[in-house]
Amino acid sequence: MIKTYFKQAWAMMQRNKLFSSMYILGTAITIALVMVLFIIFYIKLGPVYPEYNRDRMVYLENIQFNINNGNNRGGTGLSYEAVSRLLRLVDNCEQKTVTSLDTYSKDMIEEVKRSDPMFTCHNFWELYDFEFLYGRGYSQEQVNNNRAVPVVVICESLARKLFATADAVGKTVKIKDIEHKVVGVVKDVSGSTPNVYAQYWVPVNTPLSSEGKRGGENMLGNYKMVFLAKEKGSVADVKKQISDVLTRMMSEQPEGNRYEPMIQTHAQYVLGDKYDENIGNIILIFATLLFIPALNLCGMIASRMNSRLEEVGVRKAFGATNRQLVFQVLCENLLFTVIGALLGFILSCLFAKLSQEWIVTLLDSYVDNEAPTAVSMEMMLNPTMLSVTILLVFVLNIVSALIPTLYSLRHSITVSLNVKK
Amino acid sequence: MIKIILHQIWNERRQNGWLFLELVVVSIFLWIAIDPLFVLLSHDYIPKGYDYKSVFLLSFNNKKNAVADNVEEACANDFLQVVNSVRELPEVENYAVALRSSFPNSYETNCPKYSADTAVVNSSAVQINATTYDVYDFPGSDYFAMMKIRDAYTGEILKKSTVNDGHGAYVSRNFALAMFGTLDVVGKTISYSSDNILQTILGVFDNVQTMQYVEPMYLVIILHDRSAALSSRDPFYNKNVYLRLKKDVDKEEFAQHLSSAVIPGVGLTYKNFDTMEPLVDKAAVARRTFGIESRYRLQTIFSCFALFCVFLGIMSTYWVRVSSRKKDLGLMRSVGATSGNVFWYFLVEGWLLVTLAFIVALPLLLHKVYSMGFADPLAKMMSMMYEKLLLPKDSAYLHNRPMVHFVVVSAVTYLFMLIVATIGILFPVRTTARIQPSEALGEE
Repeated sequence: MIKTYFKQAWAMMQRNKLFSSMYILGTAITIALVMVLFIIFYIKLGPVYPEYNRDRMVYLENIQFNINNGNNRGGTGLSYEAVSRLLRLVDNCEQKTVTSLDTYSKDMIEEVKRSDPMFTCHNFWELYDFEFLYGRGYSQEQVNNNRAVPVVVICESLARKLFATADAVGKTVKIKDIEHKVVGVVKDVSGSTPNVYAQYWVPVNTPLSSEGKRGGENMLGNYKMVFLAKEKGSVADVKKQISDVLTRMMSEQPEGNRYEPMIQTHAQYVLGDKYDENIGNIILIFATLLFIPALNLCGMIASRMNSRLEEVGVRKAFGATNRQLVFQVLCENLLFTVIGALLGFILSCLFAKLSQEWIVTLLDSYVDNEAPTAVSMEMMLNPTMLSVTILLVFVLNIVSALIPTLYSLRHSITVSLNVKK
Repeated sequence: MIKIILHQIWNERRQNGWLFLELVVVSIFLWIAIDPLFVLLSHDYIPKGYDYKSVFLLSFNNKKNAVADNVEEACANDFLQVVNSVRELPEVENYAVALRSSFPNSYETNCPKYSADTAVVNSSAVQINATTYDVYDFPGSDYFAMMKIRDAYTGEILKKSTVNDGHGAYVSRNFALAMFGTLDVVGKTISYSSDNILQTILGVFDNVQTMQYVEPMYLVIILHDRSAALSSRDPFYNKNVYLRLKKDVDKEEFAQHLSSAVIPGVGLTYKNFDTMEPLVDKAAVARRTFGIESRYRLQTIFSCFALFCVFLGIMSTYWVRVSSRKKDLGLMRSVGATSGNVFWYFLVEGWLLVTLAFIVALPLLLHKVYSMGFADPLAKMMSMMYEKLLLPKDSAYLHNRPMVHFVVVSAVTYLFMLIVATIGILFPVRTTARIQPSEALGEE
């Protein structure tokens, strides 16, 4: 039966080319726009290279402080001492890493015009899932020995620029006039993952890095920490343990100094303080973007149902029930929606790829406009994306076809048969 | 005709209902998408108060393995050499020496609190934060001529005072009015809150938009003695030489000439010429960094989407409707209506539908504005950077006048919808209106 419905829909599509193309185009543009927005959020919130475990991550980047009885306030990172304590005392997580918040010059490697550095500890390579093309990340031993033998991990594109080959392990690169030995080459990282994005990574205790103590009685400094919970359900426990350690540290601070550490999950880290409100806004935007074209498609289906009233009357006269007729229309409509969705999905991927330089930061109020934000195929073609597209197809199909169909089926057989006479 | 069309709309209310509902929703959506675009555009049209189109900033870096007995002296000498050589160049119209952040759209904002010894009593503006540019008075340099900053009295380029003891200041029109309640402030003194050095006001200039997309804030330009620039450890560290090129000078050629002939010819001991960067690029960077570019793109995408929905909705509805009303068309044509008459009939019908939908949407939009206010796409950026410097909203700007703001955005939205509706109606009606009456009647 379903096969017959699809055959009928196909014939109808060929007969009413204009109606079909407008319906498909309307669906395609809707799906494309919603999917582009979804791609943006997926890149920001979903598991993408090399942050595949975002749902288990806990961030501690910013401590709001109000010290010296309000004379000094603001927000900054953690001190060396705070980091040391957290590394020692937070033991209910799978992994934890430290990176520096210091901003470094982009021209520390003379051979290339611009190169983005990042300062990390050795756990960084365990916590994130980098794809090493050659070599591996620096070990604790190499980090401890870094002042004597500085080491660096570089990305593939930088390796090719510097050495004309990706296999750069063992070669040396001068970073701010200091020779660094390349110990690993990783697949390029997109600027759309700013927590890990760099073109080369060096140990956090490198001679180039400052210890970053910034007042605040050893509480404040220039370090950021990321923790990886053992499982998704234990994220709250990790947050609590971090909070406990910091609370103890804060109780040792002079009276009148107040601190508010921002311990955040990945979603909170990305969506900011007004997390719930932002989630609500996002849902509202998606709903609006679906609702408006759905109304449009409703109008088109209503018009078409009007012209098919005779057919409906005949089907009813031969015993078809309303449920069967609704199912028939939904099936027919599904063909249009699926074709539109396919077109929309392709359009959204094309659009995301062509506008990758700015699309990821489209919703941001602050943009580090120099970091290249590449949108990889993995970010667009994955099971989540396909599931969302299929879900959208069904939602759009039901919302646009159900109401006008039910509305037109209210007529009696005689009215339906005589409508054009 | 209008009455007949209204009857027609009412008679086909079931078919029109979907389109009408969609038009109401789209009117609201489109209005909401256009509102922030209007705010951004309105900020774009605020008079800048400066012009740095041909102004460039020279950067220098340390020479490799440079050795000097006295680094401070070497750097000061190098700086002086650079200034002297730039001043002599025939391609340079004006030059100035200023702090590296002392130009509009600079990332770093220095905004101390000022007070006035002769401030108006009971005025709430006795102490105000103002953006401050530090300029150094080298022979022949003229910051105002270089930046084309205009005198608040005459409207001409502000003339640098010949009297300066190293503690002179020029203030913006809004600063003078807020601090003293008058523009007649030359000779009065102001002081930083942090140190109590008195600065004598030497001139008043027209408001300057110190940050793109932010209404002009209070601005004070302090004119220091040149010794203040040279006395720091390394003048190159936070002071820059700025220059304006003459109109017909090719900047690429000039930069090449500067790096290959002029600066090497001077024989700097500690510094190397690095880049000659146009200040205009700074505005572009600011535009991207603070998400303005993204805002424009996002709102434009939403607006286009809304308009596309209107277009598709109207076009498909009219196509179906015109096809099902071929008999009416045939009758109209057979009693003497031209294809133009038919076209106008449908067009007016479409416009009426759009107008009615827009009239229904307006009270909803008014309610939205009343409860949530107008769009403020720059709020986050301004609260991040300029919280202390923000002034009360100036009603001189269109976006700050609620009634005008609402009317302009509504008019633009309505106009866009009418245009798109016309295009949507044009295609199906033109095609159908061309057929002969006998053909139209025969088909039925």
